[in-house]
Amino acid sequence: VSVLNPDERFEIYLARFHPLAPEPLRYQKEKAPMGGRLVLAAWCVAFAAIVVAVLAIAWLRVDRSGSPGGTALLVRANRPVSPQPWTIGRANAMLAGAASIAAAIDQIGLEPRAAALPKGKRSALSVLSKEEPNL
Amino acid sequence: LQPDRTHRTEIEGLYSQHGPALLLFALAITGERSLAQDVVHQVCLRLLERNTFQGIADPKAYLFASVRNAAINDSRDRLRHRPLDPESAWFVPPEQDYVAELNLRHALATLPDEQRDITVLHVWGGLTFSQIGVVLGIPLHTAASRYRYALTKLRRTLCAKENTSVSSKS
Repeated sequence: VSVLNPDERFEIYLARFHPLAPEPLRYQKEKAPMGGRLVLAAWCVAFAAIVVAVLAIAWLRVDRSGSPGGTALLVRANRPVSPQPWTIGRANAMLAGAASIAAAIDQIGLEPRAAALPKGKRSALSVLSKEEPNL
Repeated sequence: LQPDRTHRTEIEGLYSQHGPALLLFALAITGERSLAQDVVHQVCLRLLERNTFQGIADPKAYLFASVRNAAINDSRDRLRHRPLDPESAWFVPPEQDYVAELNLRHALATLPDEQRDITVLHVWGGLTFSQIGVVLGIPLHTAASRYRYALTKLRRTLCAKENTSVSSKS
């Protein structure tokens, strides 16, 4: 049996303390470009989505304004809301100024909802609907 | 440049085998865990980029020497002797004796730099005095004699601490 000297015993005592393990080795140089590519791809997708959304909105606007209904919608949107109720006088004036009966009816139909009629007055639409004009 | 798979496996093997001792060695130089961790990672990644061990006679000694150079470079502008962080342990103590771990850390911190480096390299790195001579650029006999001085001083410091704690308990 070999007898250990104090230094050897002390070395054995020290060796019982194990150094803490380091964190796992990370291959940053390989992973960084991968991460960079993913970020770039995400940005590209986001940019493409924004461009598509903007184009879609623009196309819808052009399409609506290009169609008869679209024109009417735009006209209605741009026209100031008239607080005046429809009267026979206003309807006659419109019919006189309109290019055709159909256009006049379109215009009446798209007119914003008028305010409530005062007592004793009748709506031009209700009058016209009851009359049978000889056109 | 992608590292060769064999070379990568070799580095990973060295890292798992010597990682704890390399980290301890870097800690003994820098005194800061995060910096020491960065140093060890840097060295291993640089070795990966190198893609070969050709021209390196002793990869283990080379690793420790690289860690030493990197740690010295990184901590050149910092204070070498910083107060020990009580939260930052260096060792897993036997039988969860955390007081002994702290005492050992303090005792190591009292050693002169070159003696502490040699102690860490020999006791926990498992390097021979010949390898230590290569790592530190000193003759073999100088490494051996410094180690003896370090061991004696370390033992005295630890005994004194143990006696103090025993007397304070009683």
